[in-house]
Amino acid sequence: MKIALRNLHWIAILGLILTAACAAPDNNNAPANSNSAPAAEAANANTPTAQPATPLTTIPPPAAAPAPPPPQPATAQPSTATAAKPAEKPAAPAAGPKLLMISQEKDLDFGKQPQDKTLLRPIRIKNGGTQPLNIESVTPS
Amino acid sequence: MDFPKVLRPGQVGTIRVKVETGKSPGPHTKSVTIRTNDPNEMSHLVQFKFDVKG
Repeated sequence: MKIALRNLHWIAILGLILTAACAAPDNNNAPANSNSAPAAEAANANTPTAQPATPLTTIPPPAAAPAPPPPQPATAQPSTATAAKPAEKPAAPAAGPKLLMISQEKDLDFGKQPQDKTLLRPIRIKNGGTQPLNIESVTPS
Repeated sequence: MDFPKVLRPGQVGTIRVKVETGKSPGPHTKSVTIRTNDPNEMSHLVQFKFDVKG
């Protein structure tokens, strides 16, 4: 009977060992699963690199988008050209004061004159500009 | 010299010039310089011609 009890005791111990062993593999499986999960992440990590590859292919279209802007500058140039045309028009009218001689050259030819005579002659001038004409001085030379 | 100090845009003015013929006979040329604020012609030279009889 003692031998049978000892065998039962050993059987119980083995049972505990087996249960412990079964428990241990569970812990090992868990890390195994955790390892498998990173492996899947690594696989996913590889796939994301493949996904950016597709965005790279989509980048060229943006490059094609800048192409349309060049036509805009082309339209801007005509606008500057049109801006230059109005600038030429204001140049035609005299900006600021403008001295114009009304008296002709023949009016300034006194012809034959006697000696020791004082000649008084008018010179007609006009301000052909858009601003007041200041006559600072009239001096004989 | 008698001249207007300021001419408004479009206004016409008269500068009265007095010239002495002198005693030397023959052709003479005298000039008058008009100085204004015209940016394109700050000074304008006006010449008078006369011939003094001997």
